[in-house]
Formats: sequence, C-alpha cells, structure tokens
Amino acid sequence: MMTRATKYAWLAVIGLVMVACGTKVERIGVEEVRDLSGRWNDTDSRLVSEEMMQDVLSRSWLSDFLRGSGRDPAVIVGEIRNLSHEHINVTTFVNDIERELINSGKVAFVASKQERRDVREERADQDIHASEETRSAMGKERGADFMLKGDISTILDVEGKRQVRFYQVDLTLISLADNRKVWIGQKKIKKFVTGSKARP
Amino acid sequence: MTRTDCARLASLALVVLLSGCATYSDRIGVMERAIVAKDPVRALRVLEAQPGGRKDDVLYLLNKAMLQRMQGEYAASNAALEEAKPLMEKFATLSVSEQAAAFAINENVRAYAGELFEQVYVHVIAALNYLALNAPHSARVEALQLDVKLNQIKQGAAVDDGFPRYLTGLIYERLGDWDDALIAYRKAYQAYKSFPSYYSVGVPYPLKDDLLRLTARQGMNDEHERYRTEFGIKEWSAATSSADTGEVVFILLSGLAPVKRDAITGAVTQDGRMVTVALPYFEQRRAAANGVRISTAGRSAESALMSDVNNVAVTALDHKLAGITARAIARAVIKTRAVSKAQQEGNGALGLLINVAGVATERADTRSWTTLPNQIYLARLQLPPGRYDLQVQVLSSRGGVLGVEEYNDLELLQGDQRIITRHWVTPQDLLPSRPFTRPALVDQRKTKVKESRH
Repeated sequence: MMTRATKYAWLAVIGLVMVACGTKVERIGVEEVRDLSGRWNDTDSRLVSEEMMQDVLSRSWLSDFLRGSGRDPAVIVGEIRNLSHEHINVTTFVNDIERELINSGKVAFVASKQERRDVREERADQDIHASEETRSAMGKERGADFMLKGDISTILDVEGKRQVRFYQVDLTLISLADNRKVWIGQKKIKKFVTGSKARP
Repeated sequence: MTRTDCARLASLALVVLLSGCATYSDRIGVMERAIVAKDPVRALRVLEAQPGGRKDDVLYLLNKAMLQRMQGEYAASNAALEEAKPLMEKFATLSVSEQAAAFAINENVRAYAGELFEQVYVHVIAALNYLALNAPHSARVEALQLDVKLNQIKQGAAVDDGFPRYLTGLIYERLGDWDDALIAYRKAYQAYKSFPSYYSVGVPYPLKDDLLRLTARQGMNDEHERYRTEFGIKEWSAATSSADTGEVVFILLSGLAPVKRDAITGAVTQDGRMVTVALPYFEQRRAAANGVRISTAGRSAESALMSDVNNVAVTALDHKLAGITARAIARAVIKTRAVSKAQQEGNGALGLLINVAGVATERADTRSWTTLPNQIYLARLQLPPGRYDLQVQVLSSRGGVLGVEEYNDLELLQGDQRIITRHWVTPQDLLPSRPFTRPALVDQRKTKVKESRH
C-alpha cells in the first residue's frame, strides 16, 4: 500500500514526464545561430550576403562607372550555379544582396530573364486593354550594365561519423559592355560535424 | 493472482498487441497488386491508409516516392526522398532502447533504416527524377551525394555501385563535364569488374562504348588502347563524336524487388536446447521485361542489363543472416528462461502466458524496399540533331515483344542528350521465381552456423 508521500511523489514524477513529452515551440531571434544538422542553413546564407554586400559597395568599380557614365549602374542577376553536395536554395542570399543594394540607392537592379517574361506579358496585355494615358509602353526597358553570376561549391571530407564541410561561394560582376570582370566576391565557410554514435 | 502478477500480465498483453501478428510483407500485398495492375493512384491510397508505426516511416516515404514517380509526379517524389534521407541517417545509428526491446520481443521494434544498397538507390531514384524534370544541375547534386555515399561503403559490402556510378557519368556528360564523366565511368568499370558472381552482370556494352569514346575525346590514347585490348575490340572509329550528334538514353526499370517472408525453423543452442526461431528469407522474383529495343529513323539499339537488384538484395540478406540468426536464438533463450523462471516461482498461468506471448511475437523482420525495380536495363542511341519519333519495344526474356511505346516529337539539338526512364510492371512480376525450400536446422554448437541458400 502506497503512503501519501509516495503517491504524491509518483504524481509529481508523472506530471514532470508529461510536461516534457509535449511539443515545445520556442521563438528565437532571426540573428541567433542554431546549427542542427551541419547542412547549409539560414545563418550561412546571411553570412554570405552580409560579406558580399559590404565588399561590392566598397570597391572602385562603382565610382569608376559613376564617373564614366554619370548614372547609377544597372545590374541583372544571371545564373548562380549550385555545384555543391546539397540542394541549396541560392536565391535566398541573392535576394538579400539585391535588397540591400537597391536600398542603398547606389545600384539599380533590373529584372532577370524569368521576371522579364512576366512583365512583358503584362505589358503586352496593357497594350491591348489599358487606356492610352495609363499604359506602359513597350521598348522602354532599362538595359543592364553589369551581370552578376556565380557558383557555390563544396568539399567534403568524411570519415565515419565525422566530417569537415567546406563551402565556397563565388560571385562575379561582369560588364556587359566589354565582358570585363569588374568585381569578384568570395566567401568560405567551414564546419566540423560529428554525428551521434547512439540514440535513446 | 497477486497485484504484481496482474501488472506483469497487463504489460505482456500490451507487448503482444503492440508488435502485431502480421509481418510487414504480409500487409503490402494489396498495394503491390495495385501497382502491377498499373494503378499507382490506388496503390498510393492503400499505402496512405495503412497503419504503420514511426518505425516504418522510411519505408512509407520510399514507397510513396516510387508510386509518385510512376504517376509522373517527380517533384513530389523527390520531396518524399528528401524527407527519407535524414531519417535513414538517424535510424542507422544504434538505438539503446531498440536494442534492448529487440532482445525481448523481435527485430521489428527496430526502426528500419534501409539496407546499404537501398540507401544508395535513394540517390539514384532522386537523380532520375531530376533528369525527368530537366534539372540536370540538381541531378548533379545527387550524383555528388552518391559519390560521397559510395566512397564511404566498405569493400565487400553487398552494394550495387556499378549502375549508380554509371548514372553519375551520364549526368556529368549531360552537363559537359567530360573529365568528371570519365572518372565516373572508370569507377563504374572497376565496380562492374569486382561484383561477386551472384549479382555480376559482366561489363555492359554501353559502358565499354563510353570509356572508348571519352578516352579518345580527351586524348588519353594509352588508356584508349588498353581498353581496346581488354575489350577485345580491333576496330573502333570515333565517327560518332558526341559534340556533333545528339543522343537518346532509355532506362528501363523492370519489375519489382523481391519481398521477404518469414520462415519458422528449429535451432539448437550452445547448451543443446531446442528452440524455434523465425528467420527472414527472400521470395525472389523475376522481372517479365528483360530489355528494350529503341528505334527511330532507321537506327536501333538494344539494351544491356546494368543492374540485378534482385540478386543484390539476396546477397545483402545473406551477409546479415548469421547475425540475425544468432540474435533470434539469443532471444528464444531469453524467452524460455523467463518461462522456466515463472514456473519455478510456482506461477504456472503466468509461465504459460509468457510462453504464448513469446511465440506470438516471434516474427522475422520482413521489411525491405519492394517497389524498387527488379532489374535495370539501358539503351543508348546516337542520332544527328533533328526531330524524331522514338519507338520503344519492351522485350521478354525470349526476345518476344511485351509492349510497344511511342515517344513522339523528340527534339534533339546538337550535343543534346535526352534521358527517358520507364518503370515496367506486370502481374507476372509478383510471382516467385523459385520454390522455397525450408532452411536447414541451425545448430550453434557447430563452429560455423549453417544456412541453406534458398
């Protein structure tokens, strides 16, 4: 027969166990670093875009172009190839870079190939249906001055449960007028991941 | 009966209920029949409706991926495979609680992580999906993951690395990475040469062609000559250079992978006691479709066998059978000891119940990825650029035509490579290909545990 004390002790234990068994949701800051599996995550994307942004705005190509043509350069995003071991969504850090550069007011971005198709469809539609005053005319697109291309590649060194993951992101800014590469940005990230040997 | 006996009885009843009386392969019959009736939609419905614990999550996702593939939903199939990959990694690590439970109940309490060759095939199927979606760069990512996975696998493991390596070579060629493609084809060649005889398919002729073609293209003449002597080919012309012509590659996935059944056998333990154990064995299947002939514009090519998944699976089980048998015997000994302990304590009823529970829960682990194909065939046809109507004849083992398919209006540009895949299933694919012979009595007292090949 259980005494009162033992009964309450059991209840307390069961209560604690039940609490630990439910689903927990914890909101964390966007800037907080939480690495769970060792794969490419939002922290990596943020580190890449921050470094690239700081680099691209501080180089001489911008001032050279301003001096030469007297207006802001227009950049179009070309192909960013994923040559890595993971299905990485490269558009996240490219979008981050685009947003910061446009917001800085120094660089203009023009729509990429896919985006242009949608815009041109809309314009063609407006040609037929929209009124004369409000219609956006064809043939008035802003041509790009530079194209941003790049790739992301990885080197993996795996031994049993341990691995060293090395990521390298290379972005190049190419002048569309004369094919010169005016800027090359590079970011390297290295991680050491140890897999678990046992689980409960 | 005392209170403690009631508690023990209740927990035993729970154990029996939780482990279930049907093995995995008993439950999938309806789904498989729907697949061979060429109705993957109904098969997927059956799969979704099946009860399954968290332990069979991997198999649910793998089967779902194959069924969605059969319906042409390649993106959804890849999503299922991407979900399965981290689960397979997680379940491949040893679980302390599952180990303990496996000694008391049966192997089915372990979460299924997939055999090594199945883990490799996840990447192969994902790569084929990306190629069907015309996303060769994503297929390349899978090829790199395949490379990492295959490099980690020890020598002598029952794994098919021939076709996976060949596929990575195809993908690199598609992207114009000739050096990487040549390295992949070389590794495929080494793999095919070192297959154990049970699942050896020789060196398929498309691989020989590719090695000769790429070594000539990259200017590696010594290696080219060496391959010419090894393959015994006196005359070889580089007339069809891949830069000028286009190419159609047709991959036939034929039939369904073998299914495991369980067999109750007797075994003699180290101290001479007789126990009954349930061991898994493969009910092998032979695919009805044994090749394709693709033809268009007066040219045709016949396929070569690239991979015999059936025999790879059987070999993989063979390698594990000694361990499975030893664990089953240990489990049987633990259960009989529990029975005799209960009887010694004067509790005959409890002893009987433990005995019954022990026998009822003794089922073999019959889980495997059965929706994988039984065999894989590949045919390549070089064609000058243009528009073609491709005719594909699916052939039986005697050369008869099982079916004809048309792929019309294929546009081939210069240097283009079109990869078409087809999974061919018929009701005959479910028939066992050889009769089952009862496994021989296992005697642990002998130094080597005897198993019969069946």
